[in-house]
Amino acid sequence: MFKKLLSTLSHPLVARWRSWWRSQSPSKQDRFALIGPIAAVLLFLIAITTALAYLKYEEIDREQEIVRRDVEYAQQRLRIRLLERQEQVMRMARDIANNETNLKSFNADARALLAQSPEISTLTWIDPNKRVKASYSSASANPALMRNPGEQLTRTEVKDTFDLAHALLQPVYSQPFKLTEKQQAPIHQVQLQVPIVSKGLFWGVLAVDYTLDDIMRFAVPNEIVLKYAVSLRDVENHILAGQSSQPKHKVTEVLPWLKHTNEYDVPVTPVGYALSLHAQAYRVSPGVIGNGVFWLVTVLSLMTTWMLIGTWRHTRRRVQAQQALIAETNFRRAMENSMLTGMRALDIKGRITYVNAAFCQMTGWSEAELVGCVPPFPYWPEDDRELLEQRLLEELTGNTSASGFQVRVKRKNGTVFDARLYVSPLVDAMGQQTGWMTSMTDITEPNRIREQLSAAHDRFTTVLEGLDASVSVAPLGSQELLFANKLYRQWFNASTAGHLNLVAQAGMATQSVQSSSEEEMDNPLVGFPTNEMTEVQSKNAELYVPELNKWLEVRSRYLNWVDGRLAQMVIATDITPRKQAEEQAQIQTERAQAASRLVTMGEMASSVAHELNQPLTAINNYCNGMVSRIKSKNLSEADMLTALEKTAHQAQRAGQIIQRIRSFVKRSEPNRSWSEVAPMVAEAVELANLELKRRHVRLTQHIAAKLPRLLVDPILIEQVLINLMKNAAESVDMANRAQHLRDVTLQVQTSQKESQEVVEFIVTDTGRGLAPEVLEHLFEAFFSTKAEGMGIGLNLCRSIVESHQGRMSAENLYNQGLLTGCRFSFWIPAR
Amino acid sequence: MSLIPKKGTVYVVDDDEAVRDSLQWLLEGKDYRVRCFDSAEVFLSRYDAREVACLIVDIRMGGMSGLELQDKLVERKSPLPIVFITGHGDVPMAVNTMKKGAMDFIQKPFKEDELVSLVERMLEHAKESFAEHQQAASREALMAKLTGREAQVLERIVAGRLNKQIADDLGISIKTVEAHRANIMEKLNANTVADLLKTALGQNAPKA
Repeated sequence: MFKKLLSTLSHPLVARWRSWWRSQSPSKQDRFALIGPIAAVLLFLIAITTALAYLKYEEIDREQEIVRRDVEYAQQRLRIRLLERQEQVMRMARDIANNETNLKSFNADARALLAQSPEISTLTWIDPNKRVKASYSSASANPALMRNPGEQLTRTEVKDTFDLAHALLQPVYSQPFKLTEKQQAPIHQVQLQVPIVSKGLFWGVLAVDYTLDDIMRFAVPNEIVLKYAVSLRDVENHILAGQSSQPKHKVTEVLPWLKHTNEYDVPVTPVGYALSLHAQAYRVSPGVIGNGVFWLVTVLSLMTTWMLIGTWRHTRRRVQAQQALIAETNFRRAMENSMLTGMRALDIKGRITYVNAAFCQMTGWSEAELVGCVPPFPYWPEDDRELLEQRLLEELTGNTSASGFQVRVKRKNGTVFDARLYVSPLVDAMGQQTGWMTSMTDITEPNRIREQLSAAHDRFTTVLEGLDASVSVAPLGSQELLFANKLYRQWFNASTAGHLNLVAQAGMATQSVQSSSEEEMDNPLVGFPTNEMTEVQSKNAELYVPELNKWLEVRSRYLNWVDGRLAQMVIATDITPRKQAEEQAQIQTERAQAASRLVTMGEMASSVAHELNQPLTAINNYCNGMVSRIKSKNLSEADMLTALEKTAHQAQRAGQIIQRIRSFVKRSEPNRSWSEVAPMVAEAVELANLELKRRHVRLTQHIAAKLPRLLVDPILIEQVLINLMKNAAESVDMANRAQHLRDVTLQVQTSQKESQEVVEFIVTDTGRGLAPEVLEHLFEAFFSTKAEGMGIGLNLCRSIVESHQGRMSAENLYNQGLLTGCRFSFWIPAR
Repeated sequence: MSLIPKKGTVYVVDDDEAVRDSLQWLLEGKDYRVRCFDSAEVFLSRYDAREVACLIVDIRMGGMSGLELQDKLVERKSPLPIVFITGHGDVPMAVNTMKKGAMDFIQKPFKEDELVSLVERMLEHAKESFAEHQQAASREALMAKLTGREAQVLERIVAGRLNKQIADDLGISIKTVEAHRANIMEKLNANTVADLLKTALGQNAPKA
C-alpha cells in the first residue's frame, strides 16, 4: 500500500505537477493554496445540492406515480360500475324491445335497479317521440329529476343525446348538465340513454340519470377518497362533484416554479372526455426545508467556508509577516555587507561561528573557509601566533580593554596589514552569553595618515623655525607665550616681553577688550574681536627697535588658538636693509627732482637768455643814450633822472629773473607744508612764460578764486606745472600753428575725484597731440619724443604727483574728429 | 630837441616796452626822429610810405613776427630798408632775412656806434631808393601816355630795330613808324634817341 503510494509519487504526471508547482512564485503558491480548498468546498456544496435535488425529484416522481396508479384504479372501478349499470339498463331495454316488460314490470325492474345502484337517481322510459313513457326516481332523488309519463323532453342536452342514441342505436352518455333548484346547491347530472331497438326499429330510449355526487360517493373506492382530494370535472375543469383542490400555497406565489401539485387527471371512459376524474395528493412529505440532512450539510459547509476564510486571513497575515521578515533580513544583510568594519563572532570555546563580508574582504578568506575554524586561525601571521594566542585567551576570558587592541593580520595572499580589534560579549535573546563579537578595522590608512601628519608637522616646524621673521603667539591678557620660533627666541630670549613690547610699540592693543572709550569711538569694532574681524584686521607697522638696532615690520592678527582662546600672533620681519634702501631711494629721488629742474632750466636756457637779454639791452641803450647826450651837452637833469630810473628798473627786472630761476633750481630739502595754490601757480607761470613767450604761445589762465590749501612741497608742484606748460608750448610750436591758434590754457579748480575733494590742474595745448604709442609710454622713464630730451620729465612729474597722493593723466582732444590738441591734468587731494 | 633838424626817421617795432623805449632814448640822443610801434600790425597800418625812413624790427614778436612784416613790405614794393634785431640764437633766421633783402641784423645788446652807423647807412640807402622810387614813378607816368601801338614801336626802337624793320614787323608803313616815333619822342620829352633809350630803359631797369 505504502509502496503503491510511493510509486504514484514518482509518476511522471506527479513529477510534472510538482515541477510546475515549484515554478510558481510563492505568492502564487499561496493563492493556489487558498483558492484550492474554497473551490473544493464549493464543488462539494454543489454536489450535495444536486444529490438532494435528485432525491427530491425521485420522490416527487414516485408520488406522482402512486397518484396516477390510484387514480387509474379509481377510474377503473368507476368505469366497471358504470358499464355494469349500462349492461343492466341495456338488458332492460332489450326486455322492453322484446316486449317482455310492460309499464308495470318496468317500475319493478327500475326499483330493483335503483335499489342496487344508489348512484342512479332516475330511470326513465322515453318513447321515440321524446315523450316520457314511464319514469322511476329513487327516494333520494331530486324533485327536479322526477318525470311524469307523457312529459315531453325539454332539455337540450337530453334531446341531443336522444337524437344521437336514435341515430347511432347505441347507448350514449349526455354532456354533464346542471339542475338548479331554488335555494339549493346545483346538482350535476349525467344521463345515459340506451336505445330500445326491436327488429331494427327504434322504440325509444331508456334514460338513466346519474347524479355525479352519488357517483363520487358510491363508485369511487373509499381508500382513494381518503388519500386524495378526488373530484369529477367537466371539460372546462369545473368541479362537478367531489372535493375541491387545496388552496394555493403561499410559497408558490413567491416561487412559481415550486407550483407543483401532485395531481392526476383521467377521463371517465364510458362518459367520454366530457367528464374526467381528478385526484390531488395531500401533502405528506416534510419538504426540503424540513430535511435535516440539508441543514446539516449547509451548516457544515458554512462552517468550512468560515474556517477557510479564517485560514485565508491568517495565511495572508502570515505572508505579510513573512515579507516583512524577508525585507528586514535583506536590509540586515545589506547592512552587514556594506559595513566596512569586519565582524567576527566566536563561540565560548573560541570557534568562529560567523564572519561578515567585510571581514572576508579584509582577510581574503571566504566565509566557508573561516566559519568553524578553531585557533590558530588562518589569518594569524606565523610570527605573531603566540602573542595572538595570548590575546585570544584574554578575549575569551573577557579581559579586553574597551579601546581595543592593535594586531597584525595576514591576508590569504600572504600580505600583512594592521588592524584594530574591539571585543564585546555576544548575548542572545535570552540574556545568555553565547560568545564574543569582534569587530576589526583596517588601520593601515589611518597609520599612514598619522605618519604623514607628523611629517607635515615636522616640515611646518622646520619652515617656521627657518623663517627669517620672528613669529610669536600670545593669548590676550596673559603673560604666557604660546608659540615662538627660532628667530624670536634669538631676538627676545623666549620671553613674552618682546612680544608685548612689539605689540605696544606697533600701537596694537593686546587688551582690546579693555580698550578705552575713546578708542571705541574711533573704531567701533574694538572690543569685539570676532573671527571675521581677525581675518580682516591684520595690522602692519614699521618700527625701530633700539635693543636690536633694527627696523622691524610688525604684523599682527588675532587668531583662535588651538585651545579656543583668542590669541594675537605677531610676525616681525627685519626690514633694516629695506629701510636703508628706501632712504637711499628717497635721496636719489630728491636728487633726480633737483636735477630735473636743472634740466628744465637748461632746456629753457635760450628763453632765459632772451629774457635776460631784454633788460640788459634796455640798460645798455639807456646808458649809451645818456653818454651821447652828455657828450653833446644835450641832457636835462629831469631826462637823466628818468633814464636812470628806467635803467635801474631794468636791472631789477633782470635780477628778478635770475632770482626766480635760482629759487627754482636750488636744491632744497623736501619741505611739505600747507601752501596756498595761487602763489605756486603764479611762480610757475612766471617761469614758464619765459618759454611761452620765446615760442610766441599765449597763455590763458583760469584760476578758481577760492582754492583750499594743499599739503605739498610747492617747489615740486611748480616743477610739474612748469614742465607741463613748457611741454605744451613746445608742442604748439612744433605744430607750427597759426598765430591765433598758438594757445596754452591753464585751469586750476576744485573737483571731486575718487570720492575726495581735490584741486585739479589742467594744461591744455593746441599742439599735434600724442601718438597712441606715445600715450602708452608717456610716463615711463627715459621715454622721450624730443631729440635732446632725457625722458625723465613726465616720469618725474608723475612720481611727484603720486607722492602727493594725486593722479596724473594725459589725453588727446578732438573737435569733430580733428585732433585739436592735448590735455595734461593732475590733481592733488585737499585734506 | 625837436627844433634841431632831424637826420631822418627811424621806425622801431618791438614788443618789449623796455627795449623799445631805450632804443628811442638812444636814437633820439643821436638826433634821429624815432617812431615806436609795439607790433607789426600797428606799424603796417600807421607808417607813411612817402617818408624817407628806415625800420628796426625785432625778429621775434607776439603776433606778426619781423619776418612776416618783411614779407608784407616786399609785397608792397616798399623801399623801406629793414634791419632786424635778433637774440643770440636767431642768427640763422637773420641770415635768411638778409637773403630777402634786409639791410643787416644786429644782436642784442647793441653796440652804440654799430647801431648808429647802421642807421646812417640805412637812411642813406633810403634816400637813394626813395629818389629812384620817385623817378620810376614819373617814368611810369610818361610811359602811361603812350598808345598801344606806340609802346610796340618803342619796344622795337629800344631793341635796336630800324624803322623799316619795325614797319615790316608790325605790317605798317615806314611813314607811320616815323610818325609814331615823333609822337613817342614828344611824349617822353626826349630830344635824342639816347634820351629816349635812357627813359625807356630806366623804366625797365627795376624789372630786370
